[in-house]
Amino acid sequence: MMSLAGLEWLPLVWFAGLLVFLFGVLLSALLPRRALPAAGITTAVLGSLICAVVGALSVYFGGEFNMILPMSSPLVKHYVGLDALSGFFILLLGIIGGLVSVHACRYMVLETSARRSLQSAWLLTLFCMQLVVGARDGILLIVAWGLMSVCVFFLVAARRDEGVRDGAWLLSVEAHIGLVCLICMFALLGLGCNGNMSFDVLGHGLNVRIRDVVFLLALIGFGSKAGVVPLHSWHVPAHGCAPAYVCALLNSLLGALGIYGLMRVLSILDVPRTWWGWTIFLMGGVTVLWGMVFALVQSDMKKLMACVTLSNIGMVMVGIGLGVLGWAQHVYMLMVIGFAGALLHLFNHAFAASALLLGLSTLSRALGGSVDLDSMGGQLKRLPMTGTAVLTGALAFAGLPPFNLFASTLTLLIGGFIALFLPDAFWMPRVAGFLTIGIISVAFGLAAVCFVKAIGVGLLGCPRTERAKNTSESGSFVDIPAMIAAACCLVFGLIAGVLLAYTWQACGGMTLPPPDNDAADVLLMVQLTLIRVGSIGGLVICLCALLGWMRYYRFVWRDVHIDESWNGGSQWKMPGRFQPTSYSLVEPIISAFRLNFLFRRFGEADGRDSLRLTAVDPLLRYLYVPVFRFVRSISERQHSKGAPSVQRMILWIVVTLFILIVWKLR
Amino acid sequence: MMETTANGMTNFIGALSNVALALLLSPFLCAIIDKVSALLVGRRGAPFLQHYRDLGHLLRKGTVYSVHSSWFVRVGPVINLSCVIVALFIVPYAGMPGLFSFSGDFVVLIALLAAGRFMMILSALDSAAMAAGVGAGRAACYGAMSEPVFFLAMSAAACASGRLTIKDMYWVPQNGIALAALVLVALSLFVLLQLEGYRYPFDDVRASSELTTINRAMTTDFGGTDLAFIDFASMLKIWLMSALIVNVVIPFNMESTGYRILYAFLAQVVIVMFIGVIEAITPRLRFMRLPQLLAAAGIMAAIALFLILRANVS
Repeated sequence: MMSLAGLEWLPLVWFAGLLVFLFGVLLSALLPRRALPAAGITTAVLGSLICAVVGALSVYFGGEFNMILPMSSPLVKHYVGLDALSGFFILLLGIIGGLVSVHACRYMVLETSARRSLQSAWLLTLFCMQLVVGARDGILLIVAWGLMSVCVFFLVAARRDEGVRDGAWLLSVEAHIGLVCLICMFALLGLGCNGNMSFDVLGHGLNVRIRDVVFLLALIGFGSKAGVVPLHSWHVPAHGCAPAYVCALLNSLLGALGIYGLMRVLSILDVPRTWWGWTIFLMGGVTVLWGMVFALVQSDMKKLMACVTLSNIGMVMVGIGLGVLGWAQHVYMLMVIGFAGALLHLFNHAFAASALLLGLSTLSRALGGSVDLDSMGGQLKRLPMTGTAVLTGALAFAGLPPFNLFASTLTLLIGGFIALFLPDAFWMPRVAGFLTIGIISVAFGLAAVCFVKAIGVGLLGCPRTERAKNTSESGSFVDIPAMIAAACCLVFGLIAGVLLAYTWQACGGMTLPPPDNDAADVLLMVQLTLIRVGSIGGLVICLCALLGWMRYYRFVWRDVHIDESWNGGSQWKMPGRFQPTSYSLVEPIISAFRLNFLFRRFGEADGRDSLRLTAVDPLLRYLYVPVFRFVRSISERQHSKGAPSVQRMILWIVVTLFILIVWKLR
Repeated sequence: MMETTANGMTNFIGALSNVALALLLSPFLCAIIDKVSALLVGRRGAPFLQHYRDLGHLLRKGTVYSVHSSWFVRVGPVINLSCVIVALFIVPYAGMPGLFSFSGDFVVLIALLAAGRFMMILSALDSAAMAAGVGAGRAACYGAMSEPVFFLAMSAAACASGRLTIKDMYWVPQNGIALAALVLVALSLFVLLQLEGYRYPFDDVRASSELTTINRAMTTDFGGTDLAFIDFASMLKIWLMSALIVNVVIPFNMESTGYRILYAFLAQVVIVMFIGVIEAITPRLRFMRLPQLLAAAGIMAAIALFLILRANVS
């Protein structure tokens, strides 16, 4: 691995990229409305491009470089810096942020009235996301994290339709709880650091109990943003009410930032304990299955994607859990495969999610705002390019070769087998390995059904509603990013073997112990496997081309007729009436697994001839909502006593300050 | 160096000839199933070459596409067939490794079969025919349930042999426990063969009503070359799955390649004769029962895995 020597200017360039985002915020506030999209797209793409290049360079060269932020506050110095791990996330944020922004800055103007503030919030979100990844001290990270949460809140609450309030409210609750946990966590980490919150000095000399508490707080604070069960309940309602392009940003990047935070704290805490690995692993495993089951029963495409994202973030957590287990138990080959596979999965997920959701955003615009599967249908025929992007994203999410998510899932699966083949002394990694295989195999099957439903009902067949009959491509250049992301899904699947080497290099930014020879061998083995998977993918593509050519130019090119679908000999032409709904396609699997308790039925009364169902999150309904009600009843009781007077509040402040001074003088 | 090159060349030719053999003989294998089941119920059955004639007939015919369908309905059967053919390049035959033989290749095999099925289900939905959606839902459901079973069975085979490549996944049972594990893995793979090949008790290839089937319901709106591709793909899947079972059960240690191929093919014939016998003596199961059959296969694979892990411990 080469060092960063001679590239000390790299963080400065990155910071310049960040300033471009801020400049974009300024322009969004000042420029006339006509020029807004152009200014937004230009600054977002320029900033993202700069960041992506810097990120790629720092992953490639490894090494570490910190600098003191020029705008430090008078009391505390703020540090920013780049290392391979940050570089990896900066690269990801750069590429995906740029792609999504091109689409979003245009569609924002078309869809909302609050375009100026929305675009500012968008660019500020990109800025904060980059700053979170580059921050090298606790306070800066907390500030960036909090600001990012606020901006995301505004983005989610952009539209004014029913349901927005609930989703955005849950998001803000999550953001508050998460932020409180993070503040407490950094406060604990900073014990004995004399006010210096730089990551270099944080966490030294903590005793075991405090380290455990720090880990749990990090898991809640960052895990809630990533959407790990049981902290996921905000995810589906918030995504359901946000515009689809905001969903694209959140699905592909917000979870990634949660994962980044967790990895960074693990790195600060250094050698982990075994139960940390188990906790991460089991939470991840539950999230994978939970997300997939709920994706199965969703009919709104945005909510479905929110569940699928949960599931994939869960898969990343499974990888990190394997890695931490391997780290704690000194099984370095498991550590390498776990961490490298997790980062690869995260990377691939971001591309698939943005391909699918950007395409969906175009579809939702064409359909008048709704992406309910049962009101779509036949869209691949009407929007061939956008439909293909959505289809490609779905194929990737279904975990099919040769697309990218298959390669990363395969990596984690091989990690599971490696753990299973360990000697008997390592029983804990062996159990984890077996569970990994089980979780992935079940998720693999469910993902296929879920996307059969999503694509089969939403894009194929004939339109389910009048509105869906008259859609067409917008023809605008802002629909191209979805296709670029879709192409990336295929290409990254073919070159996954190469990417895995770089994701492991990115883990060099953590304080992992150096891998032994076995670990290096296993990494090489998995890389060779992925390269062969890539060549198999190439062979499939070539064979498809060959057979397709034979099919269309040798056998029947001219002898093709177009006619009505065969409808069981019925004399009525009723296209669209004899087609499965999003529920009927998954009904066999739902009744086989007795999952009916996840549904609430409605719609029989409103005169529609198809039964409509809505999925209920039991955790939200039976745990969180009662807790929220309880909190509200307490606060209302306090309020009914009347607000405290200003004098009394000032008295409290003075008393608190007095106690603090006495405590400090002690 | 020269020797390895020569070895590689032999392997390459061997792998290609395996696939050629599969492409040539898989309709014959299916004809055996039909012949056996026909003879057992007292009919004469179609001649052995009937499937070749049917395929040739279909290949020469034109196609009707639905007005509602997009380009997807046209590429689905092509991708399905390609995936199955590429999967054939992974499966070893008669002790000769496939063209692609590497750690974790069985996962790619399972995924390729799943990809082919996924494409077929989506093309069925794209044809917007009445029965296609019904069949597609069934195929998606049972496909999803078969994945964990397939993974479990292959994991058992992998644990028994300690290897992640299919060509090494055989073991000579040294004691009763290992033999029991071998039988259980073979049985669960056999159930999967019946599902993948759309055979009894999962599906009926000759049913007159598409409402009671899976594959025929999915393909009501396909005809001509597309149907030929679809049928050929399911024949190849029967070949592929039976070759997989043969590979797990029989360790090929004879010298002569010709004998090994003969031996493997005879073993495949025995396996498909079992399918024929089952078709003759059992009715097709009700759809509610099918998850239970798959669960039974999964339980067999899980017991096999348990036995193998336990045997390793002692």
